[in-house]
Amino acid sequence: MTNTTPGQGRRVLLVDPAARATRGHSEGRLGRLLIVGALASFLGFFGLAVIASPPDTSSAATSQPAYSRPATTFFSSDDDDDHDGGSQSSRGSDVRTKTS
Amino acid sequence: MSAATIAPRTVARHAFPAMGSTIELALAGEEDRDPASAWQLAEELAAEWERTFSRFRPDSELSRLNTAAGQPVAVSPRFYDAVAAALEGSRASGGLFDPTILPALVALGYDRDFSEIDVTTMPLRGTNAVPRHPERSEGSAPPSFGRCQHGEDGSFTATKNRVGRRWTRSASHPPEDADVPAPGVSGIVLDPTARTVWLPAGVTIDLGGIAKGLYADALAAMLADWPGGCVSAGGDLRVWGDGPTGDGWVVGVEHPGDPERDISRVRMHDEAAATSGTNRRSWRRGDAEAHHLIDPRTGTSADRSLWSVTVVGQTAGLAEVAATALFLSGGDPAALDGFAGRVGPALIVEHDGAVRTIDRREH
Repeated sequence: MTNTTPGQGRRVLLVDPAARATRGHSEGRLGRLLIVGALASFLGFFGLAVIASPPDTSSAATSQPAYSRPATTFFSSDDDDDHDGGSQSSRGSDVRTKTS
Repeated sequence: MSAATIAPRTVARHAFPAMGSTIELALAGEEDRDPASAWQLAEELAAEWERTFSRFRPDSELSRLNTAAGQPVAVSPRFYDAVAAALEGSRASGGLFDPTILPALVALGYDRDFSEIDVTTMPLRGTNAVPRHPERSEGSAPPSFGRCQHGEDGSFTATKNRVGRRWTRSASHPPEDADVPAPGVSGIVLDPTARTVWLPAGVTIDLGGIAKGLYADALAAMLADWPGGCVSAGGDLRVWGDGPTGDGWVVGVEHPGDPERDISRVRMHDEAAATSGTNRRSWRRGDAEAHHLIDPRTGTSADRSLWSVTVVGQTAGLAEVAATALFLSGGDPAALDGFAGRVGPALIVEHDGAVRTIDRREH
């Protein structure tokens, strides 16, 4: 901000301290934004890498995080087991559930 | 130890009796590796599980806890984790899965190892047994699960009142004197620092079902250095890696009317499945039948509108809880809402043999 003092034949240039403070604050904020931006970029990549890691499914507790298996679906069985000669597993299944 | 055999396609199989069931293992992928140490580990772990969780052994941790109800009891880490998992399962199922059904189970006559029960002649005590469904042999429609009736002949059907995720017995149908509704888990206190469990006075618990699921999970973790394997403990099954076909494991779902046949199949990778049904552990009580799937709301054997339920899940312990809840809900998909993202699809066999499926619960 510039001001003129009348009647003294000279110009006095006054700089508003608030404006200087604002400009300095803006410059500081820009610098911080750059730092924060760079940090966020790194952390974003790191975060994605963590999310992409497979969950540990070895725990026996029921409180597990969501799992992301490909869609598991039941499919029809061939009920005619006569063709496999009465083997332990019916044709096409590796193991069989029991009922409790 | 029973004989181990190496089947074609480099799958070694082994089976042995434990925990009132048959434990079956299959290990795949390493043709020249001797599985004997794995079989020994499985049997030793099963023996340890029985010493910890059996309600028929007075010296088990479970029996010691049940006899000390009303005071805190210091327990092993394994037992503590199992109780915590059961409480979490009760919460996720809205109370349908409930370990406090033990008094009801005993009142029904399941007070000793099932192999010692004469399933054909047990006298009827009270009304807490369900009548046989004549409809099954006649192939007619199953009875509704949603209405509660105590008939003159002692029969009943359960009522379903769903408030949020809480399933309760209808207040308009108070329990019969002979029924023993479960008190629920709300009064059970766990102290993780002191590692103690506190059961309210008069409350006892049964961990039989979930314990077998946790066994399958624990053994699978111990054998994870095998490229592929399967542990089946009663109705709970856990797989990892690849089976003989090199693309996961093709798991046949036992037909409830013929254990030598599959009623459906599912290809699984590093997952678990549990099946609950009335075709096992059923017994006669006078003119009625009882079975081990106790509805905690009524304290009696669940309605027989379903024959069996199979649920796929992340772990066998989780799948066991979800399968029990789904069965007791009468096959209502909402019973799986509390397991969203943690259980896969479910397969339901109605009492007349009709099959339907429920997709994975994502939310």
